[in-house]
Amino acid sequence: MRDVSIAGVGSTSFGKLPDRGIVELATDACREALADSGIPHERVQALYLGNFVGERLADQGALAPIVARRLGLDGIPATKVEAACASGGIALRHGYLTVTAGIHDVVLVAGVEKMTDIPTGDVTAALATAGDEGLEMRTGLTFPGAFAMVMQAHMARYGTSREQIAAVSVKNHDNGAANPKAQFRKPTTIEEVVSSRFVAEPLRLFDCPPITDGAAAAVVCTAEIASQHTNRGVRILASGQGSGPVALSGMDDLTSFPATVRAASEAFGQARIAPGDVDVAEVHDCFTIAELVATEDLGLLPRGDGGHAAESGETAVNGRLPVNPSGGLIAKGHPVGASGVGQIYDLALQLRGEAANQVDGARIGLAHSMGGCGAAAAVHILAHD
Amino acid sequence: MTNPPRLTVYRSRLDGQPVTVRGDACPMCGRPDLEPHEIPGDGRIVVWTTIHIPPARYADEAPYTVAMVELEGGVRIMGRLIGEAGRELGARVRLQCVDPERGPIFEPVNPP
Repeated sequence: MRDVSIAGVGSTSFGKLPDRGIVELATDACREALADSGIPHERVQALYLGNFVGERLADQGALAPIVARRLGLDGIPATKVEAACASGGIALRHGYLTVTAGIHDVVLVAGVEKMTDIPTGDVTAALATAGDEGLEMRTGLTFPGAFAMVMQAHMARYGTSREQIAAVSVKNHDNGAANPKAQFRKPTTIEEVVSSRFVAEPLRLFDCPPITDGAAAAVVCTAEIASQHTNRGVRILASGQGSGPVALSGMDDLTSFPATVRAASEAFGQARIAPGDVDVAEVHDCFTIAELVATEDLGLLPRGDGGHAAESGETAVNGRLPVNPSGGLIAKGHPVGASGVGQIYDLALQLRGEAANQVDGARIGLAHSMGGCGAAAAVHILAHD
Repeated sequence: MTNPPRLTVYRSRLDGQPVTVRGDACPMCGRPDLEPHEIPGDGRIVVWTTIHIPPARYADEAPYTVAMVELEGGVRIMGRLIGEAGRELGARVRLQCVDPERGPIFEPVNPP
């Protein structure tokens, strides 16, 4: 297996971007990543593109070949990767696997979603396709509803308080306020979170990410090629992936996602490091409660401690374990198929020392991307090259 | 008086435990060796949520409540919960009917 690096990254702003279509968003991010890497575009041998609901919300299938051709890469293998909201993270994994295995030397990984010009009810329905329609979503359960159930279970099992969960939103909004790419640039307060309107009781509006347009990209190549073109490369130390029940009623424990546990176990084993070695993490906070569960499933925090950690500032940018210094999906925005690659963009900047909310001395970063209510997860561990 | 509605679940032919509400395969071992089994529609609420922002197809029905209900033998099933009372973890509910589109509809037992 060969050492693999990220030679360059790119990202559009996340937010409401009415002037850019789904293809333009993807190509903007890809061009930026290629320019950042210094690697000429003709050396790209394959494209892996994460996208979840482009067919439903942007009326466009076959996205990967379209994007490849628009980049002047006509003819290369171009593959769309769909794993609900983990599409971006799993696209990165596929790029990584082909390079480490020696199949390709340089690949482009991207993620994109276009969501803001669609009525909310239709977006809600499209996202609900990541649940089990025949067993659960037909009841009218939504994604926020599924995580509302997880929130209730975490509160009942660990005594996690409403205010502790709200502290995740406050922290991530604080972080987003300083991130020039973020959709939400304003801080919030515990009072504002706990009095915002219900989306799916007990989950409220400020527990949720916004509906977002955006794309992100990364140039993945052998460490050797990266070093020939840039001194700002970031090493991919490990890649893990897992799957789990699509239906909530199939989960043994509503406060833990086995897909994340498995992906993390694989990644930490491959990197030969422990969770305590992680300096900075971007985790899948599709809802406030999801960040708590992720930090516990990843082993970054003991079970049931997520709420306390958020409330005490342990997971703030200047805390012992900074989580989502980018603002996370909640404040940075959640263009669902792009979010997993967006995390890689932010982590690369952290490890290069160029991030908006720079974590002092960050050398090892972890990205966690999850699809559905625990249906799929990818964990990547990156290091300063 | 009509009989209360019952639910069909599936149990393993190996040990007879009711394990799943869908009869394609055992979720534990993946074997398709299941047989249908009728159980009463009585259960307890595991967790619930009230949906205020619904998907487009149920736009006119919100707010409505969805609950995960644990039935006899530990099988869990998602269904609508009607009525204002009884939205508590562990509260007893019973099956009122199975809607062809929405699936099981539960109602509280002994509402105050």
